[in-house]
Amino acid sequence: MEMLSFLADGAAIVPVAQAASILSTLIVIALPLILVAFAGMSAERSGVINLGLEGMMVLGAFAGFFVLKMFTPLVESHPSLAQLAVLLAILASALLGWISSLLLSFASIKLKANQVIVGTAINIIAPALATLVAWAIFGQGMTAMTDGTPAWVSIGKAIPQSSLPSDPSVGELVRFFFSNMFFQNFFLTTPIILALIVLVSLFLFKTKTGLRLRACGENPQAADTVGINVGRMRFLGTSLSGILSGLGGFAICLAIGYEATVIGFGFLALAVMIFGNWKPLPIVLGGFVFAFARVLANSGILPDIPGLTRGDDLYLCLPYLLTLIVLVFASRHSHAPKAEGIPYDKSAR
Amino acid sequence: MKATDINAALNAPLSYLDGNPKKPRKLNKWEYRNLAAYRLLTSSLPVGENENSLSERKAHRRFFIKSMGITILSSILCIAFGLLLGFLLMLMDPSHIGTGIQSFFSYGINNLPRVIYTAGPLLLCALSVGFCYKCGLFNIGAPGQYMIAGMVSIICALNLHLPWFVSILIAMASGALVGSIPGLLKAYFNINEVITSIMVNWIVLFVNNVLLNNVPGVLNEKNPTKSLALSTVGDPLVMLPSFTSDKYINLTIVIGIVLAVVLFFVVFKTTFGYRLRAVGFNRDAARYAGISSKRNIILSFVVGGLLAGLGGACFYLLGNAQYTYNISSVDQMGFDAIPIALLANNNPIGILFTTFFISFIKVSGIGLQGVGTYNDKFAEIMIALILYGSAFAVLINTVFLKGGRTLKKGKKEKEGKENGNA
Amino acid sequence: MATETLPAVRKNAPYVIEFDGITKVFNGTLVANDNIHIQVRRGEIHALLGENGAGKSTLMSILFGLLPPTSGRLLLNGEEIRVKNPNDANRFGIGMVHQHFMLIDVFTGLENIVLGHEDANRLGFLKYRKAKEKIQRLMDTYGLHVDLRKKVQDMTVGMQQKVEILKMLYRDSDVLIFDEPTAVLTADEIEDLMKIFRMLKNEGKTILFITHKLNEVREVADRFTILRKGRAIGTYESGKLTNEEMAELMVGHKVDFTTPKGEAHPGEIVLRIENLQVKSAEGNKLAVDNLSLDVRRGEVVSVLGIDGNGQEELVNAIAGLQKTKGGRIFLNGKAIEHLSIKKRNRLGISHIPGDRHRYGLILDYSVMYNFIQEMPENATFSNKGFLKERAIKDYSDEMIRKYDIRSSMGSYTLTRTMSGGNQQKIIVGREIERDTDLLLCVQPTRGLDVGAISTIHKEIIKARDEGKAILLVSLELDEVFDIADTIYTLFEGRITGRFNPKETTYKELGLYMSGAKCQDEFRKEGGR
Repeated sequence: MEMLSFLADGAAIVPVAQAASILSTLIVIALPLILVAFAGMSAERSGVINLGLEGMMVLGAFAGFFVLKMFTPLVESHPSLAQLAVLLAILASALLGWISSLLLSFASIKLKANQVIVGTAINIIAPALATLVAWAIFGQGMTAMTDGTPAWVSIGKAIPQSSLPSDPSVGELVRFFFSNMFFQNFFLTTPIILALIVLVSLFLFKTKTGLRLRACGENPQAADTVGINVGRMRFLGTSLSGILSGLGGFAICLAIGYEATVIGFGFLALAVMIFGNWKPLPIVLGGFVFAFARVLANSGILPDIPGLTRGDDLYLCLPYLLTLIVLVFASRHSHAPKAEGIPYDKSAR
Repeated sequence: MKATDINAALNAPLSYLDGNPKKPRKLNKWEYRNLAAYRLLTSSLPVGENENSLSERKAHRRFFIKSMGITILSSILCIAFGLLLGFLLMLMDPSHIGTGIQSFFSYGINNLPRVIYTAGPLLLCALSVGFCYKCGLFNIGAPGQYMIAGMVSIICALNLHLPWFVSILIAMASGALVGSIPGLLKAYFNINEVITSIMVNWIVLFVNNVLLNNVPGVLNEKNPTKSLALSTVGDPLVMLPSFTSDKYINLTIVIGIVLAVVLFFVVFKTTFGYRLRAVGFNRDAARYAGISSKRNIILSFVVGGLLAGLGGACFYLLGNAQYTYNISSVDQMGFDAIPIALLANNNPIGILFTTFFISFIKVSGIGLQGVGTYNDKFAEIMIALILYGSAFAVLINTVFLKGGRTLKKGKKEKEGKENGNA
Repeated sequence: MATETLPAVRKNAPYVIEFDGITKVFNGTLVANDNIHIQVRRGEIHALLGENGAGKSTLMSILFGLLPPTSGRLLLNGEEIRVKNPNDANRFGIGMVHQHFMLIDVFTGLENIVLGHEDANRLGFLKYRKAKEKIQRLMDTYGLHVDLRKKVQDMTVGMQQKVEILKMLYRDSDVLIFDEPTAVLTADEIEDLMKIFRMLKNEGKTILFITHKLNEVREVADRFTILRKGRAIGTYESGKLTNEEMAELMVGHKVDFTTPKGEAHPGEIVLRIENLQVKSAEGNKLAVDNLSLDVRRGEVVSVLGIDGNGQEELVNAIAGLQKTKGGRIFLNGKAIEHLSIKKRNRLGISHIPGDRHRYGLILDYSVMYNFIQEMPENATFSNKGFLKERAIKDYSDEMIRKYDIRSSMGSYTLTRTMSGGNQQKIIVGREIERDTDLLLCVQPTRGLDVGAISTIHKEIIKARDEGKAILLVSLELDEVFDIADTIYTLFEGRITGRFNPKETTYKELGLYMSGAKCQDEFRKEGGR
């Protein structure tokens, strides 16, 4: 506490509030980003390239916000049901994410089609479909369905800056900081995603099925000779990918607002996955780094690049540039699953 | 029927079909018919004599027509599949479906100039994708090459007041530069060109935003998310000439058609095209023949960048459209080009025709706007569904026309087993 | 099939595995196994000995469920079994180590061993304790010491093979199949493997292994069966036959010359190889080890060896497809080992590659385009970068006539749709007609019928008489005797002998090819 005594000054309120706000945004952006990168990882570890992450996210977000919209009247009369509605929205987003992943698994596993093309198609279909279904149901122009993220979705309450005395004590400031960091943007999705990140890591790397799934992404022939059903494992990996990206899409739109787009976060997640070398811990790290770049660029507190107006766009392209550089340096030791993108043909064993 | 069975049947003597006691099982009717057709197509004819050379040529023509037929048929099926599913989706608003479909088609037909207008840049992007595919590369970076060239051409016009043909050349060079990044990374580090292209697309998006905001004279101060209209320069020479006052019929489509023909010759009639396709078909065989795959990979990406860049330059230099500040999505034009190239089997002349179909759908979608709750997103979905379908069309073409990679692979493996290791 | 019950282990059944009239026909014509009867005793080490194409691997693939037999029965402990896939084989206690290991590179040894037979708790989490205990027991029993925590990609080939063996033992397999287990191993590793074989046998396992090395058979096998051209020639007790007898049974008898050819008149040296070393693509050993030889104008020099003894790497190194590790290659006195493939082609190397689909042809090109594969920019075929379609077609038509290449649409035919023989004739014609000094031929007649073989042989002899230097790599003794003027035998990347085909026999060559003998001048100081 002694060390923090310099904070006991009214002048500290603004930077503290700003820091809390940035960290809060960072958490709410980084976690879904990591989750979607995990979605990419689970598909690729099983041997299927999922370039349709962005599209699957959009559909997940659509399903989630659709449920929110449906429940808004009920929640307004029974506020206690709010989190139940959010939970249903989360389930809906996962479900639609999974359904959209069937487009990929059917084409790539059953028909052995080009996975890159299929993924690209999903990315184009998703926002268009989300838009026109919303219009058909709620009328023309109602892409967003709800007016931003409904206030009742968030959990807990941050201490408003106005409630602080003009000369707050250190204790008050610290409480203010943490309450803002955690509760400025806190949704039911946050703990669920945290849990999922841990669970998916455990599933892929500590369970029997996970071991088999990864074997299919590396050497499906070898997996087949020890009695593993390659098609089923790849279906599992793709399905998991759809579920996670659907949920991740919903979560990120809670933070940035929903308008039938996830503004490129799907591709950013792809970059995070590659940056993280298809491994959970580096992906978590990469997710925070990339999200931080994004949040800082949007927060307006980064130093302006001399001589440039709105130069913060350069910060936005940093993650992609970084990924390219990582690709060059890691090209000799890439941990990309060796059989990814190659349809498994039993007769070619 | 499993791939290996087909191979067994195709390579068997005719007695295999006629009741050889050792055969594992009888072929069913469908298999038999396919086999008979295949055999007819590939049956041995004596060669060398004059009259035989005539029959050869006939057989070749028949084969050529058949292969063209399969490509065209699968393209039409894909397009029909996309349209049909799109129309099915319109059942979400069942009361307007009749008028919807009617106004979809009538809008397209009544606005043919607009179809041609859209077809121009689309054609150039599709030629870019198709050209790279001939070398075995998937140029999903066409949107990035298109965008950078669009921005560079705007800068050339608004800031430097250069005449349009100079702007186009500079813009094309920028497209080639951006295109060469995935090419170089593929050639020297063997990094998947799809991943690098996607990253480059996004980098270009943000770089363009910076250019839009910082190059003097480019930003429209009254509407600071857009670039200034080219007409403000006051010099008509900065703009691409058009043949009509509404600018829908302009030089772009002419350039596109000429280039499609030129590329057809480059790909099929030159040594450069020969080597390029050799690398695309079989990298090992190309290496054996002393053809550098590195050189050809980089070159084809450079040419791809030039083409997509030309598309972007022409689109923005026409003066109809202004570049818009955007941080959320990469330009759609380059993506719409992918199904065109795939459906046309990457043949430049085929691309020329397919472009008009896709462009028609793209424009017709506008006709849905205002009918019930419909909007132009239906056209987007249709094109995306066609893209989805084209993933299979490629498959149909390879399997039924060329014996198929998967089929051959199985066979090769077996040959190895019987001849090599035993 | 789930309903099929496992035959009870009848310890009194004299044979653990019986092949009862196994026949396998590929593509309706190619007979890989012809009515094979073999009986394998419980607890013995049984070798399958034969040359390339004798049908050894096919037979083992049938036993392991990778290929269905065309006819015939498999018996396990005297009862008929049907093995439809590797899972069935596992259930019957049959395990196999493939020539190319079936391992996941990025998994640890432990993970690879348990994959498919993992222990897990109710939540599906992997439990390794029991597995580790069992594997430790197995390692101690059989002397198979492997670092289980190491990833397979960081292991030596010998270690990887031990992992494969542990994989079988972990599944309680009683019959262990090895497909050419020593092909990728160094000398020390081979010694190790032989020890392991004996241990396995002592513990009651039955081992079936494929080989073509006589010494190995002599060293560890109890009995061996010789296969030749798809037939089982006989099963013998080890040690009952001399090396000479084994070699003769393995390679058969010399047939008459079929290609008329005159005396060779060797001229100046075209190709000179000095102490060449080439690393193998997989594994860490030298595939070509200090090899030197000369090829002169107007002669056919053949390098004869059993597949995988370095001949492929030798030719690839000369053609430029593979890097050399040491030594020099001269073409007409000019060092070429660092030149690009294109430059070597221009300096005068033609190459009929062994893998025609991988290197020799672009299957999606028409026949006429395949005739110009190395030379599209030749002035005959193109002008300022434009292909002269007419000239290419004329050339192609002429070649088709000259080499009797049959297809449905002549020059326009898509190469993929043609038969293997006609495809091969395209390559042979193209390479012979090119104006070069050296012709590298790798198995130029592989998989072709008699008529095509004789045409190709005649063309090669004609090229020789026209003054080309020809290096022939073949696995077929008949072919080598038919056209070679000098024969070098190759064993494990080294030359073991130099022969005149008129003064040698199949039997003698068989001994040198299988490493049983080596001429003094080629013996490496110190030896192994």
